[in-house]
Amino acid sequence: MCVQEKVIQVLVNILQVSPDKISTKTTSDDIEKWDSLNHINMIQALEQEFGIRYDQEQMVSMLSVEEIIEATKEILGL
Amino acid sequence: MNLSLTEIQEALKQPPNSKLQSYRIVVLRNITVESILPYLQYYAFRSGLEAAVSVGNYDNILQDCHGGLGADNKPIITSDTDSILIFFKLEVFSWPLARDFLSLNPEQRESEFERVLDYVELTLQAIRKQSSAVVLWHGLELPVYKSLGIMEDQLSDSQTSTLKRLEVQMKGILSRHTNVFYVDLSDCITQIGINSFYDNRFWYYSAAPYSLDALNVIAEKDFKYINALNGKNKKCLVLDCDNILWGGIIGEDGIDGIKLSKHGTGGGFYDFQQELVNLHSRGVVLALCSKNNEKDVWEVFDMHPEMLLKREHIAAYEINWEDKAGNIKKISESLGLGLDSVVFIDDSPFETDMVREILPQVEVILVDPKQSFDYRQVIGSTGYFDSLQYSTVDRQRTKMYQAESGRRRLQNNSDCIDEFLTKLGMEVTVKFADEKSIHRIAQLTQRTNQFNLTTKRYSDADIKKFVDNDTCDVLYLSLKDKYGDAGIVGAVILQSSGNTAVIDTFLLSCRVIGRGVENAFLSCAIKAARLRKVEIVQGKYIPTSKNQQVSGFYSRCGFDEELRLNIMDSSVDAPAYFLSVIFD
Repeated sequence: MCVQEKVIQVLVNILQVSPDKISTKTTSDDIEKWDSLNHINMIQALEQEFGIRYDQEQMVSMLSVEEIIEATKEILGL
Repeated sequence: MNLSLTEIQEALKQPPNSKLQSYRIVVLRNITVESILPYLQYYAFRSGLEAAVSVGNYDNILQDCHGGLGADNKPIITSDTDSILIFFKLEVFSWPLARDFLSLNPEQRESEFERVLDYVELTLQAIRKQSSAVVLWHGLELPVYKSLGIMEDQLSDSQTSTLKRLEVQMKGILSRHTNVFYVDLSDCITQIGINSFYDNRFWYYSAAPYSLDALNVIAEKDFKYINALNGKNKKCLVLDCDNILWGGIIGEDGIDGIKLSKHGTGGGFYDFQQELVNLHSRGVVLALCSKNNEKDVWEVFDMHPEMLLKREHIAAYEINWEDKAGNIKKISESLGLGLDSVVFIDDSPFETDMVREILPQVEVILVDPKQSFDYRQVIGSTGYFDSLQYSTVDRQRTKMYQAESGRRRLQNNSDCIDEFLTKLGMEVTVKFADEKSIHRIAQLTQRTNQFNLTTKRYSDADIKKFVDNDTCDVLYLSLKDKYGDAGIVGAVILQSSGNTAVIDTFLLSCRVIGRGVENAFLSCAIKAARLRKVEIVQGKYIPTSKNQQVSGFYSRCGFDEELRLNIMDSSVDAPAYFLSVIFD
């Protein structure tokens, strides 16, 4: 499974939205449940899924699917 | 085996085996801890409960206990609340005590110390004004980095020593309230390691100190308490023998070939046996279920010099070549214990799968003999047998169950049930509860599921309140027969007002069910009601998933449709096959 698919799967789970509501263009403003609490859950779920750890700067900037994928790929060296 | 959040959420989507009972949890906190929700739901789900969790307002513990409102504008704590989890982080309540300790002078230290204790006391008092829910107070965490470094270890008035003293005093306050328990977080920290437990990123970002893995182990521990208090803890461990108690196959390797020794490759088995002996001392009933020649197994028990487990630790056994599901069923029947209180451990996936399939109520553990060095940890970490009671009765439990197993064997051969019961020579004694019996009575209310008309769980303090109450009678029943003294195995609580005595609690340990003891007990309870000069005895039956067998108890004894008995013109007699029924 590629990074994008996995990221979307985690978001679907945490934010409880259907997969067709999420694309690379989606941002936190588009989804009601993407609040600060779920942001923490989402980051940790992604970390568990990929076996990585985001730094502080990434953590606060990961407010769109595109940025999440970018940060994740950067750590994974992809 | 820590599940990730995604795995937890997948598990929660599975349909439950049986209908879930709703369970209301309130979380009060001075930190961000909302992420614990899915974990609480997961462990509730595994215990047959559907958790409805409401989280109190941030850093508003005391206000929330005083009728504080939640997001839905309704009080957070209600009379329906089943349990209240309190997360009280010292860093938030007293930064100086937690992080700036060295700048405090002794007076300031003491005053901060007292401020914490006052807060704990006030919180509990406020809770008890509106709810009798179980309270789990999550313990103080000691400093990760000691304020004086290694010098800290040398001093008796260091920050660490001060906080340990604070912890002891907090526990003292908690123990003075009913149904309030201390959850020591240091176990959870040890379990997953301090670096996995805390995640400072979220602490600075949103006052959330604990990682998801930490919240997982905390929720798991909370449910050990909740399960123990709900009588969901397991009571019996059924053991396979080959590759469980020793390494190898006794029928093939012989007594000199099996692996069992304190050191070397048999060490895991030796240590596991020690753990079994410990469980036995805690009151867990041990049984054997092994495909073997019976003689071979007992030869190891009797002759192997390193066997820690002895025949007297084993309450029941099925050593034969029949299927294990059937054998486990026989064991549970012979001991009079429900299948849902049984844990089965085996190294064969075939056996464990078969038991899972045929007896889904039984908790099954599959272990790998190549990793026998982890056996002890496997059984130690489950919490299946955790209980909040420990008494001398626990230590004698196997003897009682052994006697019970003997009784059942006789029963199967007995043609006439009354004749059989007469032969038992049962002597029943019923007394009013006193200081010495309170603990055992409370324990019975917490453990008894089957012969329990109302399934009300009471603590020692609750029972004491009944005993001290002028309008209440607390009776207990003890039973002796030719196999031995079963001790206190029944309890009744009567509440009298006007011309009516209400039976608030009527229970009998499952070890003595099926012998008419209940009728003898009810006859004594009615005598007690007569002493109160009431005319009506009012029974109560609250159905649960386990007490169906007693649904018709009162009507069988002559009570009317509303479970009332007019004791002016009718009575209940003790069966004739008792050697004696004494009430004093």
